[in-house]
Amino acid sequence: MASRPRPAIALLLATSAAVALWRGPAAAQDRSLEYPVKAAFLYRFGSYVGWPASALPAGRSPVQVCVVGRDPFGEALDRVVQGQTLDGRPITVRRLEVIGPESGCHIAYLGGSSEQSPAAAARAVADAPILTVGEEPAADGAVIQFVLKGARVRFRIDLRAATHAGLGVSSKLLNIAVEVAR
Amino acid sequence: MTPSRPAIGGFQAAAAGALALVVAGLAIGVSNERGFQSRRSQALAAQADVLAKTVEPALVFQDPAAAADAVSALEADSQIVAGGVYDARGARLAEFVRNGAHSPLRAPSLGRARTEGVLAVSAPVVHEGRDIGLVYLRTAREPFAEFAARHAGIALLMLIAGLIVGMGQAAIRGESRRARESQARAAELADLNRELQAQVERRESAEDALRQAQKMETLGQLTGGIAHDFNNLLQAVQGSLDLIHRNPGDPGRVARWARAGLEGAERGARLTAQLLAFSRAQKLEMKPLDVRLVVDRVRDLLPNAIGAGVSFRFESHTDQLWAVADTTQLELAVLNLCINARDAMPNGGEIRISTSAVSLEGDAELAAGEYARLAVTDTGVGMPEDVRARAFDPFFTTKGVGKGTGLGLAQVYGIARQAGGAARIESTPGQGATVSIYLPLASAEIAGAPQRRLSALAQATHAARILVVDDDHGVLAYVCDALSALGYDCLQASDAAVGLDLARSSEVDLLILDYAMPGMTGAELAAAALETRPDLPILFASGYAESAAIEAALGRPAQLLRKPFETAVLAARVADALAAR
Repeated sequence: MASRPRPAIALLLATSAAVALWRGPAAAQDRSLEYPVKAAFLYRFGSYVGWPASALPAGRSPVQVCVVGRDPFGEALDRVVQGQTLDGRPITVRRLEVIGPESGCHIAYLGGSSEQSPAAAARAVADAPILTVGEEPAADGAVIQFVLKGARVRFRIDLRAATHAGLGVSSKLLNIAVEVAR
Repeated sequence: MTPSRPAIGGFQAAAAGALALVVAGLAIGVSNERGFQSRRSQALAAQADVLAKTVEPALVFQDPAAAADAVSALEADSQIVAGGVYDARGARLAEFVRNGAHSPLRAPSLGRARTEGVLAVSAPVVHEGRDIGLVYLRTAREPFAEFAARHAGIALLMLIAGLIVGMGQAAIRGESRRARESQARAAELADLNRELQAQVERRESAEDALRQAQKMETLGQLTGGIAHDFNNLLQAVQGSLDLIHRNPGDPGRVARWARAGLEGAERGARLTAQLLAFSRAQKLEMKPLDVRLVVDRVRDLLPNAIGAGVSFRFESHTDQLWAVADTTQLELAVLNLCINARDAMPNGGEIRISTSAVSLEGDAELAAGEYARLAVTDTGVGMPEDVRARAFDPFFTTKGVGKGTGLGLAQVYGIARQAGGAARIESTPGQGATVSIYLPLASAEIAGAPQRRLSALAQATHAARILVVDDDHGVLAYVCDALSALGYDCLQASDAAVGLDLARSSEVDLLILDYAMPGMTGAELAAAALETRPDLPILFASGYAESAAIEAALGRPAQLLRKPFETAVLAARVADALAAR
């Protein structure tokens, strides 16, 4: 462990602390930490997913994390990705109302909007190499869906959707998923 | 200890070799152990790395269950007793517990640590190039059995080397201790030996002194006894002669006094014969003799010699009993035995004299063969064992001073031994004693003709001239008177030179010479006389036993006439010598 915490690490520590606090019995009802945790998870999924080269060319091109429709994260997401990288690539956060195959997103949180429900958004980019993440059960059809197990944020993976989208999901991620639909 | 140096040197080389082996063994052991621990540590680190990679997503997604799943895989490795997964803040997310061994609550520092056989490894969990936590693994303390098994070979080698060194050193210590002990023992032995030698020397000098004292005492006893006996017999001779001198005109009484005087003289002769026989100075005349005849001859003397109160019984179990011995000595021996027997019977009793032939075999003293046994048995007081054991010792006597010389049995033993036989005593105190003389039995051829008895005087068969030379006028007068009485022509000389002149000038047929004379000995005179008359017979009359000197001077055996001699003996020897011309 580095003796002098760098800002990134400080952030990670903060997130972890938030997770730990939120996880605690006293914080069980306090849902305020749910989304900061989900925000952290959101970009971290990227570490275990492989995109086709067409979607993510070699080099240092950034990984785009998109929030589609309703944004439950707010600044927390921006903070959590601050200084983080995925396989050496910087992370950028975009917010858009509607998503489509050509949106340029790599990871997309489907918050849903009046124009495009989470499920509709999932269907819209089902063939595109986009890691779609949403809340269960609203984001039906998304590759990853957040679930709450007790006080913890967990997730289930729809491997068929991932395969359909042309994404490779690491077995490591599959291992810690509460459920994997194959 | 000089001889063992090379061995010690050799051993020192061996010990150095063994020591080198121990050092090499230790080095190899340490090296092996280091290698082993290093490999073990590396293996554990690799395992930690694998774990770190496995738990990475669990840490990333803050999934304690997944982390616990990952660390539970450590179950498969029995070496690992504790494992932990820690997040970036150092809090333990999950742990693996075996046998109650927990991992630390807070994250330990990264790296490897080994304390007391327990290996602990911490490896970072890296996510996107950053440490997001760490895993911790700890092994159990290695069982000694495994450690021992790993080093058993080397340990055994070292043990053997140690044993060799130890045994060698023990051997050396033992060797040097033994050497010291043996040196000490040798020194003790030497001391003991010196002490013993000193004691032996002291004892020898004490024994010499004692022997000298005993000799002087013995001599005193002897001279006392002999002087006493001689005084008695001289009293008889002197008294008888004195009576004859005073009353020459009474033939009857003169004859009785003369007989008494002669008896006294005979006793004196026996006494000196005993002494000479004991000293062995007297030349023994070993001749074949019939032991029964010896007994017969003594038988005539016994009643007078022994006196009243004692009865005799004679037993003869064979017709003839030939042996080779000195007749006179044997007669004396029998007489002595009878006197002893009488002395053993102060209240009277019976003396049995028996002769027999016995066959001995496996005897300690005597060779196997036939022996003539002459035994004298009395019914007296007998002898205790200590007396019996010493009875044949010279001068040993149980009789009072003047009563015995202690020579009787010694003479008996001497005569028997000189004849190739032995003397034995059997006795039971209170029941008498038997003294036996064993003489080798002679064959009939050796025995030859029976002995001529000297009872009658041998008269001169023809005239012969005899020259007698003796410096003692008494002897000279008696011999010449006796020879004249026997019918011989006697010339006499009291000086050797005169005698030699006479021997050369006169036609003599026989020389009778004294041996010990002043100026010229009888032997020298004889030698000179023989130069002109080589065939001249010579008789040496001597009280001493100079037979060896005489024979050396003459170069031939000498005819000896032992002093004192009876007239009958003189007559017989003269007749023999003349007849042999």
